[in-house]
Formats: sequence, structure tokens, C-alpha cells
Amino acid sequence: MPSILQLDLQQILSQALSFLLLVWVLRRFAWRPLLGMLDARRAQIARDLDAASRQRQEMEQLKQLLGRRLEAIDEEARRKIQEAIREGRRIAAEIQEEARAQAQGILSKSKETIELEVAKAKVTLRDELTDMTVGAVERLLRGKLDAKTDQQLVASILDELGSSTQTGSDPVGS
Amino acid sequence: MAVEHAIPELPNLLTVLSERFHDQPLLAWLHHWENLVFASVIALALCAVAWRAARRPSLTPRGWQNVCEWFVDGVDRFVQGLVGPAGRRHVPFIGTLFLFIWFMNLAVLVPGMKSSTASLNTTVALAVVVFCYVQWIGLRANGPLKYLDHLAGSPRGVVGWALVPLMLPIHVLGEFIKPMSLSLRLGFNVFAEDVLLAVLVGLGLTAGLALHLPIGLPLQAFVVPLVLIFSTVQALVFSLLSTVYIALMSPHEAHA
Repeated sequence: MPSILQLDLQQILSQALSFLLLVWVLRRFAWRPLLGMLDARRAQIARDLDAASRQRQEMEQLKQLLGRRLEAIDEEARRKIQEAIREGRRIAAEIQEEARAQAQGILSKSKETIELEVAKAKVTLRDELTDMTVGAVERLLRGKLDAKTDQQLVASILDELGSSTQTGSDPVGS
Repeated sequence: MAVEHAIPELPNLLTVLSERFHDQPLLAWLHHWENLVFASVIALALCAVAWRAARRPSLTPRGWQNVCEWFVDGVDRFVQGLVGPAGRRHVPFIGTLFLFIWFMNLAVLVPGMKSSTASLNTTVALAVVVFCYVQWIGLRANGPLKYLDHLAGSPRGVVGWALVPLMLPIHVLGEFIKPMSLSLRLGFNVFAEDVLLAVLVGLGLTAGLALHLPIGLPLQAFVVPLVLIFSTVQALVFSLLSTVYIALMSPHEAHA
């Protein structure tokens, strides 16, 4: 009989037991740890993907929030710039008004000073004219006078008066 | 090369040693149990690889763990695809069955080794284990009454019950035929491969002698790819059919 057809119950039972033992050993030390590791990795990947998805959503929300905040900041900046422009214009107007008032004050003060100086000049001129007149009279009274000398004297006095009238500001007053 | 009953077989380490030292009872005993010995060698090799791969499993696999996880995941998907999610607990059984048969089939390509699956003692043992496992699954998952109902062809109505005396023996016979077909298919296919290899090795030796060569012509090299393919296919068929038997015996909603 060929060897393949020689059935032996002992060998069959021994092979069956050895296979069952192999199944038990591999199940205990290989299949369970490896299947458990596959499940753990699968769960880990699922958790990581969920976390990544959540983080992506949070990022989107944060991005929208930041966008809104940036818009608000831009709006606030525009508002503050407008306020600053208005304030600047107000301050410029105030400065302009103050400068105008100061200029007006300086002008009026200058006019007063000029008027005072004119009055002083008039007084000085009058005093000088008086002195000259007195001097001329004194010279008329002291000198030996003839008709010709009187005429020359009067003419020189008149010349002096004329020249001082030209240099003075108010000949009528003198 | 051992010639036994005119059917050529490749010599293995134990046959050579027992013929060389025929007065050693230990070698004679090992030669008698050679199928179990070579099957145990395969089993130990599998245990060693599994121990190395799974001794410190990590979430970031490297080396052997990577290869083993690839295989484990493939078997897991294969079994769950046929049986359904409940098939997870059958994955170790089916996976071990496939690996054990596959490496025993391929063992003939290793000089000094022998395919234990070329003996019906091995294939019958595996088929009996599958048969017992399937019946145990059926009893455990369905309960004794539903198990008997399943064997009776799930009779409904008068006609169904009237056919029970016919259907019950047919189903019982079918359950016993399943391990027979599994064991005979695997055993004879692997035996035929081994015989083919032995014939070609013998032919190569004869041709070498005729041509006055110091060694024989390696004519068996032409069928090595076929042996690789058929060994894989036979292991796959045995595992696939075992999974199908489990799926058929499982509650139908589990694999609907």
C-alpha cells in the first residue's frame, strides 16, 4: 500500500493535538497581541483624525473670529483717524483764531505806539519851533537891524520854518 | 531516493539516517513518526517567528512585526469578509491553519525536509480538527435545537417536516463529507507534487549518469514554480473552505 494511504489513528490524533497546541500558542502569543495592536492603532488613527478634524474646525472658527476682530480694529482705526483729523482741524482753527487775535492786538498796540510817538514828535517839534522862534526874536531884538537885514533875517527864518515844515508831520500845528 | 511500492518519494533526513543506521531504534521511531516530526519543525519555526514579531508589539511596527501585521490584517479582512464581524474570533484558527499547511506544503523544497501534508494522516487530522471546530461553533452559536434544525434542513411547513427523514441524513453525510474532501484534496495534491518532484529528480539523476556527469541534471527546477503556486493554492483552498464551513454554521444574521 502506498505510504499516503497508510492511515494511523495514533498519528492522526498526534497531528491533531500538535495542531491544536500550535493554534493555542500562536493565539496566545501572536494573534491576540498583533490583532490587539492593529485595533489599538486603528483606534489611535481614528482618534487622531477626529482630533485633527476638531482642530481644523477650531482653526476655522478662530480664523473667522480673528477676521472679525481685524475688521473691528480697522474700523476703530478709521474712526480714530477721523477723530484725530477733526481734532487737528479744530486745534488749527483755534491756533489761527488766537494768532489772528494776537496779530490784531499787536496791530492795535502798534497803532497806539505810533500815535503816541506822533504826539511826542509834535510836542518836540512845537518845542523846537518855539525855541527857534524865540531865538529868532532874540536875534532880531539884539542885532542892529536895517530894512535889508530884516528882510534877510525874516527870509532865513521863513526858510528854516519851511525846511522844518517839510521834515515835520504837522506844519499846521506848528 | 526511496522507492516504496513503485511510487517514488524524495528522501528526507530521517529516511536517509534510518536507512544508514537501521539498527538504531530511535531513528526507526523518528522515521515512523516523520510526518509529525517535520510538522513539529514547521510549528516550532512558526512559533519562533511569531514570538519574535509579537514579543514587544509597538504602535509603529518595524521588521518582523510589520510583515506579521500585514499577514494578520489580511487574514482578519479575509475571514471577516466571509463570516462577518463575528468572524474576528476565528481569525487565529484560520490564520494558523493556513500558515501551518502552507509551510508544510513548501517544506518539500527544502533539502532533507518532507511535506507532512503529503500524508493523509496529517490532512485527516487537520480536517478532523476543522470538522470538530465547525460543529462546536454551530452548537455554541445556535444552541442544540437550532443546530439540529439546521442539520434537518430548517424544515418549515408540512412538506418541510415530511422531508426531514431525507434531509437529515443528507446534511449529516454532507458534514462528514466536508472533512473527507478537505483531507483527500490536500493530501493527494501535495503527494502528487512530491511524486512529480521525485520523478524529475530521478530522471535528472538518470540523465546525469547517462551523460557521465558528476551530478544529476536539475530537471526538478522547472516544476519548482508550479510547486510554489500549487502549495499556496492548496493552503488557500483548505483555509477558504474551512472559513466557508464556519460561515455556513454561524447564525445567518452574523454573516448576512
